[in-house]
Amino acid sequence: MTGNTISIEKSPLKDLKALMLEIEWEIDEKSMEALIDHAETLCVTCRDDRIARLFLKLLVSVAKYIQSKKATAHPDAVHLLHSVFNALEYLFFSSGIPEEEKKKMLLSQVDEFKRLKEQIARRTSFNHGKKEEMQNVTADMGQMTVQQAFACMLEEIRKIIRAEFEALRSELRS
Amino acid sequence: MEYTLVEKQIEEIDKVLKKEFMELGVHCVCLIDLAGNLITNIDNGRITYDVYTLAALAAGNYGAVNAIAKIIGEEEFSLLFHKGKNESIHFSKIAADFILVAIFGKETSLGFLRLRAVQAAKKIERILKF
Amino acid sequence: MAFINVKKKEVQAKIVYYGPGRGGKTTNLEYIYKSLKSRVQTELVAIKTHGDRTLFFDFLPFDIGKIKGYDVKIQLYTVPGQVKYNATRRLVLRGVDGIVFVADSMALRRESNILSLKNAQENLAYYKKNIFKIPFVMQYNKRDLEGQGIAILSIGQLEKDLNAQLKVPHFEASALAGTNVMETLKKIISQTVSNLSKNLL
Repeated sequence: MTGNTISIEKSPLKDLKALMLEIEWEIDEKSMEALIDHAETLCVTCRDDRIARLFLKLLVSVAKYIQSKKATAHPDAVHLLHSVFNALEYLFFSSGIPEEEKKKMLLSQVDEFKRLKEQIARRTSFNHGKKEEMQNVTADMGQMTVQQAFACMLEEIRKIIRAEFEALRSELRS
Repeated sequence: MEYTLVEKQIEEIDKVLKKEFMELGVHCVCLIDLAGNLITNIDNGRITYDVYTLAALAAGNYGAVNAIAKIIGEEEFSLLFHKGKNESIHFSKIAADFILVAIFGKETSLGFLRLRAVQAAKKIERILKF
Repeated sequence: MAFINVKKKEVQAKIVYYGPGRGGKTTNLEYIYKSLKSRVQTELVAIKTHGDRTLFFDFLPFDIGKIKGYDVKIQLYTVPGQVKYNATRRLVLRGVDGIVFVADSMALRRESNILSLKNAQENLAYYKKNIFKIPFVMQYNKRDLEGQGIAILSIGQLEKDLNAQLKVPHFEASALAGTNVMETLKKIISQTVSNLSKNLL
């Protein structure tokens, strides 16, 4: 990757970086709220830089997920948060990066985001489905076999993933 | 500080440790008491150190740091964590007499580990209620 | 106090070697470690100063086999003897199940012995433990100095100073030469384990 570097002091990411470093040590309501607010404000500041804005929106999505789920969040969400920020930081710190390269970087993070969503959906459905499946299996033994319950569960997961993809596509389009 | 734990309690604690820590990729997690006794521990099958010695030293370390806190006018420190090049160690207090010690690598986020530690502490405290 | 793991069928008991600075506590553990190498699964852990004085504690865990179907793990600790390390001594005494008091037979250490024993009693009281009720063995160390031109206290004097009220078993020892080191250890282990058996198992 090529490009000239800009110092952190002059970078608009300076405060966001401070917040990211804070949550490396401690994830709490106050710091997550500050991170989200700051990233959303930067979105407005960077309205002319489409890719930076999308990165920031991705960051906000993941941060909001962690904020809402707290300790029950998927562990990979925290890795993704740092990964998205590191990529964003690289963009901001380096000038002269070709547009194609920026898009590739963004798509790579979006892929990770999709993977995370799938993992979360699988995890949620497994937990609910397992509970429901057990209830179904024990309560409606005559009406539904384990295989039928499992097939229902899989269809539910597919519906959730399709809905998430649609939401992401509309976000990227806007 | 007299206490007795039944098998079911240790099994329940093991389940909590597996769910809250091993999922994060933690290498080893131990529940110890302040005297340095090892109550229970779960690891990823790849550790080569002796957990009994670790427990004794961890209790001593925690006790010493706690004593320092009191000397400087603090009730306790909210973070006891040592960062290594590859392995790091985090301590959290559970109820009055126990410590949770988690050893983890660079792939685990300290911030997230601390959230999980708080959650685990609450669950273990419930299990430990005599 | 001992921890019993019902799941693993294991008992962990803590024995602390107490006494004045330079009295031979660490030397006791070093000798035990050398003698028990085959049964000790780990190294002797010693947290020392540059001058080889115990700074925090020495630690040696080993198994003594099964008692009433439970694996008994003994954890030996020493405390730093220097007066300034009282806070550390108190920390190490937490949860103690048995004590070996290593007294220094040198005449010029007479007062240090007495003060150290008093200190042990105070630190035990901090944990609401009674020195008269805890398994306790007295070791009068450095007996090998007798006849080497160094003034040492007689056993009678040591007993009067340190054991008149406690009336616990005592051993004349030389930790350096290994004399009665293992005997002291066996005695404290049997006292500690039988106390445990009585109260817990």
